[in-house]
Amino acid sequence: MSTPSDHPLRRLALLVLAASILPGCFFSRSRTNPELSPELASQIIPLQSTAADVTELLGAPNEVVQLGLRTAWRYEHTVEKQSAAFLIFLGLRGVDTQSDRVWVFFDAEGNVTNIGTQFQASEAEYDVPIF
Amino acid sequence: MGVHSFCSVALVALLSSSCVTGDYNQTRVFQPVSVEAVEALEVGEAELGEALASLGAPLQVIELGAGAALAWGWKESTDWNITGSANIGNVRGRIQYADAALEFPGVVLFFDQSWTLVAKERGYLSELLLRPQLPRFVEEDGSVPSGA
Repeated sequence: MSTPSDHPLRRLALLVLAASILPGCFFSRSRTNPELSPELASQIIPLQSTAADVTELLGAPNEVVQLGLRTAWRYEHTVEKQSAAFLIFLGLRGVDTQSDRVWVFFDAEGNVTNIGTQFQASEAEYDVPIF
Repeated sequence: MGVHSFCSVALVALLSSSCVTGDYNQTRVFQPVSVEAVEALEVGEAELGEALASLGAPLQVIELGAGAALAWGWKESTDWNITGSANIGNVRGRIQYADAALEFPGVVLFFDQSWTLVAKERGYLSELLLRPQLPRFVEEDGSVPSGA
């Protein structure tokens, strides 16, 4: 003899109800500025390249810092990945922000003297914390 | 009524008249630089190119007198945010607890005008970069404006 809870429609209704009120989750990904290419950055050669060369390769910088008569230009591309899971009374959220960044240093004449690079934007991860 | 039944009724009563929610957050912003790489940079000897090659692109570059400060920063933290609220009669109460860390740890390297490393410090960037700024470097060329 079957009990009322064994009725297929009732069980389905319970499942739908549980799925709608119990867990929830979301994933989001946001990016800032265009991607930076390691190949293009590697074409900037200290003591050879000029500000015009850098502009031609990477475009306009995101920031220009005046250092006396010298300057430093920053290029940055950032990726933020966010993921979360919601239980009834508890939310678990993970945010990972990583960036590709290039700093180019110029002398007073606009010649490149140094360049610093890092390319980590692709290492941003979706990671819901489990404690 | 047994103990279990009483507890169940008490729990249902509590949850129906009040609400406690919690958030557990994990934050990672950029990646830490190697301690060994920072230690390997000798004050008075290392130059900008060497620092950039071993630590990568800094987070910030700041003019500091005739020289500059370069900062690398990152953050890896977990924190709780707990909010509780309750309705008792006509009174509604709410309490919140958060332990989020606002500090951003990092390394700052200080260079002189010839791009030689003169100092390096570890700590929170908010403290390291808020120190009094040195006067801006101005080069005099000795020329006298015409008509003077």
